Amino acid sequence: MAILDLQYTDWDREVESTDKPVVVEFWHQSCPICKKIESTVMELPTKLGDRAKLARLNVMDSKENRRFAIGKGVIGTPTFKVYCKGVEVGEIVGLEATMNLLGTIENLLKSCV
Amino acid sequence: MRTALYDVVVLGAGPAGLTAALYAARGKLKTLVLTGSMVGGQIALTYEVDNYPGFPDGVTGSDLSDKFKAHAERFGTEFLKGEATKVDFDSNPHKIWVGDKLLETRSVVVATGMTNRKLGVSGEDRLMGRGVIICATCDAILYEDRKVVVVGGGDSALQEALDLAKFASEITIIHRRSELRACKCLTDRATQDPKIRFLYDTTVVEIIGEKRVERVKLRDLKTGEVKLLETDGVLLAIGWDPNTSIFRDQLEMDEAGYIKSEGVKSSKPGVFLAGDLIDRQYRQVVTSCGSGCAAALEAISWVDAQSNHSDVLKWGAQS
Repeated sequence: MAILDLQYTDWDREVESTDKPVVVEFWHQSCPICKKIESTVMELPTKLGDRAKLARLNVMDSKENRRFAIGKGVIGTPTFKVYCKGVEVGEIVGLEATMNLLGTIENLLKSCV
Repeated sequence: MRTALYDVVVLGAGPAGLTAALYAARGKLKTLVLTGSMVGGQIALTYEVDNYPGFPDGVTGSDLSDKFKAHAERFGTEFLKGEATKVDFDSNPHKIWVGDKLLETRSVVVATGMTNRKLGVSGEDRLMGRGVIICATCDAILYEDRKVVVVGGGDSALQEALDLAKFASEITIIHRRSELRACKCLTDRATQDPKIRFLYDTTVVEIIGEKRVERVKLRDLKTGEVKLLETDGVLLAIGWDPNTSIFRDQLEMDEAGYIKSEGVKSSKPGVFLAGDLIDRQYRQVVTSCGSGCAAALEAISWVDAQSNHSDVLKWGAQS
């Protein structure tokens, strides 16, 4: 399973209209923390298996992506948000993502029962 | 839980620590690096390093730290993620605890580096990453049409303010002194930028917000007046502090927490120092690597003298 690269136009289909929990990373290529944790992030689909879908949205891909992320309350990168049936249940921001990312996501996924 | 006896344990995995590990491991010392939370130190949070020799096109901080680590690993360095919770440099061998794990080692290289200085005010830790910014490279673009406060008056504060001004609607630089400390070129650019304004003789006494930064409480240092300023972000650029508090009762240090040193030697036998925590002046990647190398060579000599293994120095001295 791979990580889905989202554009803001994919949001309704891939995040809002799905029963499976979705973990979305808001990131960009000039963000040093995003780069630092990239290998950990790439392992998440395998480690989470069927428990969640993994997606990421590059806030520098377009002005629209950036403004969409700002509209979702993103004010730092990386920000990981966990959605259950389209509803946000929690987030992991900045340096928090360098410490036990998988464990923190697993805890947030418990809200999705 | 006790581990095997190491020849050297390196505390910290920035350029100084990783260089020390490379030299020590290549010198045939049994070497362990205790990495802290992240390999790379400050450069892991730097997008591009443009002045490290050998990389004419620049290199990302992340790539450079990965290369440093791989180089040290090539000679057999072991890595352990975590931070020392207690040390005893008076014992022989020296003892370092990481939680309930005990590391014993003949020598130590302390290269724990620096972290961004915090204001130490209410709201700062709780709102870190939620409007309190320490990595402008990561976050500036998300402050489009928002208001940001930049705290500080040096070069980095003004450079960050100028970068933020490309996106933000309004920048307020809060400085506790009546004059900036930044260089003239940055001062000229910042004072001419219509988005940037300055509040001198002022400090931030509280950062306020429920889930996000909403405002800051300011105190005028001349009049004592306290007022609120609405803002979406607070960028901290007030300097750096050495990560040395755990060594306070073990090593001599000054009031600011810089460890007193003679070259790379500390006040305790077999404990050597490297990187920013002994460097108030230069603090470059390449100077940290230099002191990491020197600390490792001293550690090799120390271990050799302790164990009379004469071949150790021979390995360490090779270029």
